Amino acid sequence: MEDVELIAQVKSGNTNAFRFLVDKHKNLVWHLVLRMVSQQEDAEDICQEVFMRVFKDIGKFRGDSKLSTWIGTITYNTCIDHLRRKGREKIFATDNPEAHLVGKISLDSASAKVDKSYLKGLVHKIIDAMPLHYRTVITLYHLEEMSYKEMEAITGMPEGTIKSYLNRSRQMLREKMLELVPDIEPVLFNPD
Amino acid sequence: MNADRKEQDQIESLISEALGSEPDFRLSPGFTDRLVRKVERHIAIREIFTEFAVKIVVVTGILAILLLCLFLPFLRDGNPFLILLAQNKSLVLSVALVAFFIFFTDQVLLRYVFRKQASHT
Repeated sequence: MEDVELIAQVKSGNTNAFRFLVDKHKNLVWHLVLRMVSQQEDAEDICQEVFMRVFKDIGKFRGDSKLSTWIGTITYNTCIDHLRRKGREKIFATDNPEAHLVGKISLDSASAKVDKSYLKGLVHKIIDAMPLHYRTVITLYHLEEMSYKEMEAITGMPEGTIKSYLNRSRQMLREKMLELVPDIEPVLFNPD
Repeated sequence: MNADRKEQDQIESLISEALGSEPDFRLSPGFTDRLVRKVERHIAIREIFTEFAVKIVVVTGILAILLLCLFLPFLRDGNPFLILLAQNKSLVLSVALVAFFIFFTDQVLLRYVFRKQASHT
């Protein structure tokens, strides 16, 4: 079903169309919420809140952007509202992102086998410890494969800032991994 | 130099692979069903309130026209019925409030409760 037709159906109160919309976009919402909020117990409630907002505000959707971009914007704003309410995180503190990582990443026990899946888990841990905007752009770019323009529409950040966040976050990931696993070479070149 | 470059490339490819992989946690299986039920409740409440508002407008409109019809023929001398109403305005207001409450209970509260029960069974 095309987005235009889907929106028209949801506007007219067709709950089957809404079900289709939710199934189509729930992964985008879930990934973004999980990365931004970092708390699984809150994440599902926030996802519900996002889709309720989508349903209530669908009449305001003018079709200037893709439906996924519009839903992404609602998700981003809902997460920011949630984090502000909880006051758990300094939302715009990105002056020294490296400082965010200090002491936040705990490695599994020394006996744990260091292989590629362990390193992938470590990548996720490092991302979770990064400042909010870094985690957000990483998720949108790598997991949802969004363009810079779409990310700009969702986050309201200029394209240059997004590119800079992406580069810095990759750099941070590289440095942190080498710091935490100094003997990374044999693992990387192991075929499995 | 070449070995360093190779290691960097390997790290880059591992990071890309990790970043592109889905998180371990997943939405609970009944997420869409619960959400759709919530939306259906929302639609039902909206419908009930819209109908109630329309009925209130219609009833008050009819009453206003009736009062106007009663009032107009006695524009000069004053309508004895309206004078009576004005003298007992607290009683009239109480009756109107009770009527509104009964109407609201019948048209909104009971309908909402019955719909909720029906959706649970």
